[in-house]
Amino acid sequence: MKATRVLPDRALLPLLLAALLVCFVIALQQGPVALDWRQALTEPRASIHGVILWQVRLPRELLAIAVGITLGLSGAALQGLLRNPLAGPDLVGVTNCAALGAVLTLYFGLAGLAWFALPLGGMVGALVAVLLVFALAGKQAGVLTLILAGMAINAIVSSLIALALNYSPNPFAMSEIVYWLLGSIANRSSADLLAALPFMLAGWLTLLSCGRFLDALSLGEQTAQSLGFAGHRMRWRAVIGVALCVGAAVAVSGNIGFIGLVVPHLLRPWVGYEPRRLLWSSALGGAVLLLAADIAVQRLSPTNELKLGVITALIGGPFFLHLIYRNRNALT
Amino acid sequence: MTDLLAADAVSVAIDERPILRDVGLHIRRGEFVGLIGPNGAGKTTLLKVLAGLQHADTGEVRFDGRPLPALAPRQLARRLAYLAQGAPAHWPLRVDKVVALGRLPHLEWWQRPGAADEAAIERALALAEVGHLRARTVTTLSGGERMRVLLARVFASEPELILADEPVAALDPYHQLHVMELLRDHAHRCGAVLAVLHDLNLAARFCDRLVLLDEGRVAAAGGVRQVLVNEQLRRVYGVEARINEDGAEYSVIPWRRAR
Repeated sequence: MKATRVLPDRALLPLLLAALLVCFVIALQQGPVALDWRQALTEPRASIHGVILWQVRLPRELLAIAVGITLGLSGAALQGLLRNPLAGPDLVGVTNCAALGAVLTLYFGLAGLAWFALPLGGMVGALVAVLLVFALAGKQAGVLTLILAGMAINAIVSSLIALALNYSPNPFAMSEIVYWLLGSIANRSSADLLAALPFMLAGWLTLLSCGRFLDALSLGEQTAQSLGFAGHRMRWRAVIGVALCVGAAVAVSGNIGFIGLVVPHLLRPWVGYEPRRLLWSSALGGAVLLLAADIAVQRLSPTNELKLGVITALIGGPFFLHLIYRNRNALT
Repeated sequence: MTDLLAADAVSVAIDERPILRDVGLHIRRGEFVGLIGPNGAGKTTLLKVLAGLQHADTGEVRFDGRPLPALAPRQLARRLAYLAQGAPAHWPLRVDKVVALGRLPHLEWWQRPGAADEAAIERALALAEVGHLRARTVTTLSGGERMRVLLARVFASEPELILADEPVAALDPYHQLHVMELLRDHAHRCGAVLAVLHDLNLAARFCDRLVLLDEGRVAAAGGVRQVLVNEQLRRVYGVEARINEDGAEYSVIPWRRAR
């Protein structure tokens, strides 16, 4: 095992927070217009720079932070829950299923019914996926079973999404859905952010409250239960937490992959492999990585903007291969 | 004096196959009780039922006079600790962090571990003689070291009763003796221990009482010399044994198959 220095929370969390702030400020400066900070801050409504900062860039980057927290946190929680470093909201099909829920909501025109309809669709989809994974792979899932279960769910869901696209009323609606599926946080308004934020917040709190249970779970299900945790109830709590925040996030941002796999994996040695500590650091780490990816997206192709989900997949795919390569002896 | 743990008429069936039938058992304070029996006799299931990890179809388990379902899980967890078979560790955690998990039943969700918890962890590390391993990673330890670390985790909870499922399986003789001593000392110091054992000699040497389980039933229970007799061993295990009685010492060597 590589000897990475384990950092205490009081060092690691401020470090990640600082990185988050730096990335946040840099991200706000991206875009076709060079921001005049003085004008933007002094005349938030009257000046063009104020409008760009407060109504375009700020909602976008705040959404990046919220989605990043969601993906990092839920990845860490799922890995802890399944005691499996290869779990992640996208690999086990949760992200895709949430996307399907949102697509169906859009497709049947339900999105306009209430402000929370789209996040709700996403959350229902995410919940279905987590329950399916548990039913298919069982509580003591091996790596292989888990990935196969995720693959199967992803395959079914992809075909259903394709079906929805196939019968979409017009090419415009179709391209809308396709672009949305690629995963992006561009051109999201603060209304989009506000519709999803309450559910994400609820999901985050639910997941963070599972920390000690996940710690206990590292000694196995029976031991966790003997340490005073109602195993069945706690598992439900974690599942609902994942469904709440991933469902709501995907409903706004589309399918942004691999953050939930990569972030907990990179941070795990730094927190001494403790699942509870990993929750907090992965939340911040997810936000940092997503902001960084968003900066990269805007830098690489300022005109015809690259989708965020495309770039995370481009980085995450090879990373996943690398993980499988390193763990290949443990997989069989 | 009341029993610390008492089970009455416990029956469990899994997929309509009876695993435990009408099992009764009691453990008093200060006792080290060995639970023995051939493979598939229902020892692990019984231990789980006694720990409140599995529901009995019929019958009742009482801890300190109160039925298990009447006790809050965390309350029970402070007084009863369970050491799982094989005792897995899923992440390469540091030894002292693993031991610290034993304090979880004592912490409310808003509380951080305090001085009392630190002290309990230190005591547990010293008790199980794993203090020198504290900065090691649990997955890199040898089997004997790992079992002692997991025992330290149990000690850190400061329980009265320890239920241990095959605590000495796959350990070398030195570590077998060590773990048995640690369990016996715990029983004689403050609490009680019920351990699933396969080694009849260790059971004979260390346990105050034995419960012999056979096909889900209690075949015999009582002192070592009443339970470990040839007639019993032949009937339950299907082996002939050489039994040596030498004053206070009593040893059993399974010699040949009897059927």
